[in-house]
Amino acid sequence: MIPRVLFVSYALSLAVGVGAATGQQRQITGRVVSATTHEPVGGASVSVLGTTIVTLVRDQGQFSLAAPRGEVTLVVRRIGYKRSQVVVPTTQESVEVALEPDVFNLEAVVVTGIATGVERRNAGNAVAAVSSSDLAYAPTPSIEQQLQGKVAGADIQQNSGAPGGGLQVRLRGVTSINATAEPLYVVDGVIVSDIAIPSNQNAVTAASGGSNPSLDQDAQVNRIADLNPNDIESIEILRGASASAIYGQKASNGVVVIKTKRGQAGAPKFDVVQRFGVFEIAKKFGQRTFPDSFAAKAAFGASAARFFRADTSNPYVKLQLPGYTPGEAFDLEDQLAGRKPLSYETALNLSGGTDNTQYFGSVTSKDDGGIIDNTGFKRQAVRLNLDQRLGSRVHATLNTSYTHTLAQRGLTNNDNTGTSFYVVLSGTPSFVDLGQVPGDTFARNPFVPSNPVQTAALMKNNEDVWRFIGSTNLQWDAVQNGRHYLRFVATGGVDQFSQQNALFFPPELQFEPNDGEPGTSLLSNTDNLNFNVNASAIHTFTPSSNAFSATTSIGLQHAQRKTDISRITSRDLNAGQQNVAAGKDIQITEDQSRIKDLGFFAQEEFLASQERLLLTAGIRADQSSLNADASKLYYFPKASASYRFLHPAGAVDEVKLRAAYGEAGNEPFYGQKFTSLRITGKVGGVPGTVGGDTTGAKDLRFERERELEGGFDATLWNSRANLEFTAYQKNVSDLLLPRQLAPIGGVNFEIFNGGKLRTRGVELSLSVIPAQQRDLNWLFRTTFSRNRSVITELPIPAFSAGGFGASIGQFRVEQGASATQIVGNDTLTAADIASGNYPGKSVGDIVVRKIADANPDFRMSFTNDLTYKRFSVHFLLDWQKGSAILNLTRLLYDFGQVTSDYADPLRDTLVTSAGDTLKTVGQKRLAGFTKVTRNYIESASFLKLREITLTYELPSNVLHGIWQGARYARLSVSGRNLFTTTPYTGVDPEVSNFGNQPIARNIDVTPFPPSRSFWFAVDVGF
Amino acid sequence: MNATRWLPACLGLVVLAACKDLDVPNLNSPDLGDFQSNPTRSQVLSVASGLLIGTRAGIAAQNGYVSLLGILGRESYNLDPADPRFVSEMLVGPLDGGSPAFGGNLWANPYRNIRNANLELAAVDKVPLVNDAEKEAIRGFTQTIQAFDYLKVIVTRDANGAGIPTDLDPLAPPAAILTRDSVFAHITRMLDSAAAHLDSATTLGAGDDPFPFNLSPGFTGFTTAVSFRTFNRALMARVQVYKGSFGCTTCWDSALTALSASFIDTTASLDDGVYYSYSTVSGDETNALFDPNARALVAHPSFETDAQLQARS
Repeated sequence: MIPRVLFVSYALSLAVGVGAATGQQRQITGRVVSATTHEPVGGASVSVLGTTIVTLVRDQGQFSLAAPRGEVTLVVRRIGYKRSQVVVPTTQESVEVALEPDVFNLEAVVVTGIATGVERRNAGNAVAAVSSSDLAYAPTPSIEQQLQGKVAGADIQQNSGAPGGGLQVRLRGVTSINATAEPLYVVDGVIVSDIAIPSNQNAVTAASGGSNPSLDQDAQVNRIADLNPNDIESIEILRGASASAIYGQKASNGVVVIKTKRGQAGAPKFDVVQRFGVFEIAKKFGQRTFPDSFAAKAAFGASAARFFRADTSNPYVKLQLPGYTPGEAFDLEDQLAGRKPLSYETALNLSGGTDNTQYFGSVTSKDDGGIIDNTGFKRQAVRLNLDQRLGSRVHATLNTSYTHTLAQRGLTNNDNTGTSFYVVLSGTPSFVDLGQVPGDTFARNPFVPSNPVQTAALMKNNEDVWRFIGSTNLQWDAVQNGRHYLRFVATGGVDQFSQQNALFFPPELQFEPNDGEPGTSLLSNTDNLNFNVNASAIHTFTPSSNAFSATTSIGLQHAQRKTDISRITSRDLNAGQQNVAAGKDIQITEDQSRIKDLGFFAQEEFLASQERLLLTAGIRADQSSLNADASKLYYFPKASASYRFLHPAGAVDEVKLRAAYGEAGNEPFYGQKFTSLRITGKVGGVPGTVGGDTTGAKDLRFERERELEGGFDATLWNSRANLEFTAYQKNVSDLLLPRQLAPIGGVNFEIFNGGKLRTRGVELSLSVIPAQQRDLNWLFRTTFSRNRSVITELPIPAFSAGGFGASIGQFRVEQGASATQIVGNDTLTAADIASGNYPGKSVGDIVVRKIADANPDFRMSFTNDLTYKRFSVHFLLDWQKGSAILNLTRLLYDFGQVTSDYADPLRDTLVTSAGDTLKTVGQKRLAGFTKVTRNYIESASFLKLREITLTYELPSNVLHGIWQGARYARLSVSGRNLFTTTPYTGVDPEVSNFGNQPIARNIDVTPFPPSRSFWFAVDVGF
Repeated sequence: MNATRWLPACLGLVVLAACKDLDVPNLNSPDLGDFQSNPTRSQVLSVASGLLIGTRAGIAAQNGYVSLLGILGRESYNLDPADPRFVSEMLVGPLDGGSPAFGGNLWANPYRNIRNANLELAAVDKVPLVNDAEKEAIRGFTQTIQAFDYLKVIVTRDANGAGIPTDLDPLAPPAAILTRDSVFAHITRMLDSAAAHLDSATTLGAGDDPFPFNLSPGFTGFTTAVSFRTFNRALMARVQVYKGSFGCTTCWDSALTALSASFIDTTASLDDGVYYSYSTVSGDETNALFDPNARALVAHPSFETDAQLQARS
């Protein structure tokens, strides 16, 4: 029999007939149809139980195979359908098999190791798998957006509205403080890079100052954004160490395993999608309007009156705006971000093949406009995936893709120079016109020496990425008989990209002369290479009694990563040219990293009791150049067990209990282990060497996560409902921490391993089919997740994990406290003093204490898929309850006295001792600045309509009337982020000024505003 | 197929060959350990030049030595609209210990360079291909700059005292805090020792040779053992004046003695002396106190009044 513990590539091996049965044979022909629609199902595999005979079903559902004489049992399998077994008596020669849809994907094969998998219904871990049919509802630039709200326990948030990606995928809460926050991405067996390389816009914004600035406020894009969502066949998410341990040292943030589409034998198939869409700003921050010149003069002094004119007809009427109607003003955000650009996406897939060779090719071109001038996102991508069978026992695949993306992301986020778009707006009152004036010039901003409308129109911030990802896989079925099955698998791949960031700020910009060096040109070039190979041997033993099957796999994995970033900052540009050589003040930096690692793994999977019991144990051993001792092996064990109870109660079809334990790591960054000298400094042009600021512990190594999870999966009411429940606990130890050394020793920090944090959580997924009829199908899915993280041990004093300081709020890592707590200055009240917690303090004293927590109470999502006849509707609601965010955009607007509610009269009379001078909401908030930081903390709860799609499938008679060769044609309208409800006053409660962060998200500093998009699409297959 | 039998084997060999050695050196900068155990001539000379980078660190930063001392002394103000803490914390208070570098840098920056000097002094003893006269010149220069860094520490710490670290291991227990007088005594000894090394270089015949390492343009005219010694003595005079103001009665005479050996000349230009240098060369710093559009940094008006008076009188 075919072993039930399957290889990941099992489906591939079924794509063609394997071997030839011996002895006398008979021919069985048949047809495979869908049990619900009665339409033919192609691409299924048909095997004869107890033999290795297998064949592939053709497009029209037809198959034919040579079976042994006598009664045989055929097993028919197809992804997306439940397996079906049919007994064919000796005399019967043809058979029709009806396949039930596998709505809950229980029979999908899920990952258990580098090269092994198991059917989902047996898996010992909670499985999170998303297939291509759940992805393509509304187009997005980046694949993570397609996953938002679809996986319980995966918090996926976009850092800003800037076109082209930049999203954080956080699986099961906080897993680190200082190491990377990204999961590991594996595409077709190859580890691909997800690093985020800043644009160097900091050279203009000076968001981070000093001689060695950090560029983490540059609105950087993590590079998984280069993957073309149209090419994805399935995504599987291993959310914690219990599932990801087999990836060892890199896997404590979870692993995202992506497979791309493949061809199937048959006539060539074309699928064409053409989409047109439009973007528009989803939410404006708002601005204060000034009813008359008195209000303007009160805020900005007497000179503000010049923006108003007298109404000469009535001496008692106050001074008014030119062309004034009460309350009106220039909509500065509309002038900046009011564009509604037409966007398109064209995707063409071609697939097909012969018994021995299958191919899948795709071409995609995408052009998303931006709501701000000179912003947008473009992608051109080609892919070719090949499958080739070499003889009966060898199967080879080749996957290649080449992508070019261009992201133009404007100039947003924090700054210290008055250049970032919304920072300027925060100081500009709405009676100033920033728009283009006749003669093609721009108004000068009299309040801040910078006009963001002009900046957007004349600047460039282009991020071009050219990326090749290629992999090849070779598998050899060395032994294949009834009891033993031995396969060797080798996979190798490269992921190479070049990124160029070219930013240009011509001297004509109003802000450019501010630094005395008019004109800035920035050029950064990055070369990144990931190379990895793995080889494994998999042996399955099934005794002739079929009592169990035992699968042993062993292997090794080697990876190298190489990154070289060089940056040129050129200022004071001769003749205003972009060429960086035109500058008078030229700064150059180079940053290299190279990482090598080697891992060994071994795993045993034991499936018994009629495929009800699955026991798995495995171990991974890793050595890496990132550890202080590069040759030392570190071990990561894992184990899991699951048992299926069939029909344990009336309405319950099946319940699976499962438990899993695993360990995984999070690596130090390159360079952390070194104590170095700095050779790049100069003084008056003379180079010199100085000592470095940090040193690495002698035993520096990865962080270690130990995760225990358990739960159950239940199928109810005759497969009409599926419920999954999981509880987990992660203990992360050996955290990479910076120990502040006594500065007197001359070195600031030592990076060492220490401390512990714990994350606990639950996840619940429920899928229900309220209706399943010929004309009406309704699938409802909901997910629920919540988690709590606490720092259980910290061998160093509490320290900031991000933010700008306690006076305006920051994340603080503190023993015994929530990992995501936000602390800030707070003024003690009488109740605080009475509590006795503040000895020696008195009412009105300012202390730093916890004022909020960024962790949400829970996340939920609701997905509905309704099909009525030829219409179908899909929509997804994503809900976050009870997170907090630091709204520093509002603080900046308050400083500028231009917040929309700044002049609202104060209603509560209990305000403050400052009494009468505080008359408005904005004044009250500002009066509390550095004393009551919580004035700028807001709820980040939201409910978003992430995606909605309405599809109409043309009836085949109409379709064939138009075009004889067409297989299907669909028309759809869809939208993304059409609707958001949130108490948050900022543009989006999901933004992160510092990009992807282990802890310190939820800091809002003048981000790129989010946009919503509407799409019309035509899909045709022929 | 035969090919399939050797393919996996081949791949395995490739893997093993590729990952035999997992060690990756620091590709961005030299290793400190190398410099400590096997210093080279070029490294030692570069570290000597680097002392001028280290002693300049944070001097002109917005939250640096000149700016913060100016704010505390009510001589200057930083009215940066983007960072109101220069007013709210520095002038009003309370100071937030968690905020980056409001004052802590005045302690950390000089000690970072004191460590650089200690590393250099240790390396000079063992470096090959540097002759004795050159070594003496490097020692004299290094100790002078180190004494200058100690001076910057103690003038901001005053009666709180400061430490004198000698251990090159950054993880060693921190040096004990000594009294102000002990630190000043140490600075005096360092300057005298530096002068002796410079004299020794002169004795070895290299007194008027340019230093073997490069100095910043701010040291133009002070690039030989003989001329640099006049800067050393000028510093000594300043140190003696500080000591005198703390009650050392003999120090005033010492100050006069040191002054007479210094470059200070009542008949020469007031511009004579050494300077912190800045440039726009890649890797260099620009002077952050230079604020052409007067956006944030302002001086007390009495500054200008006094300056005009001085110029007239």
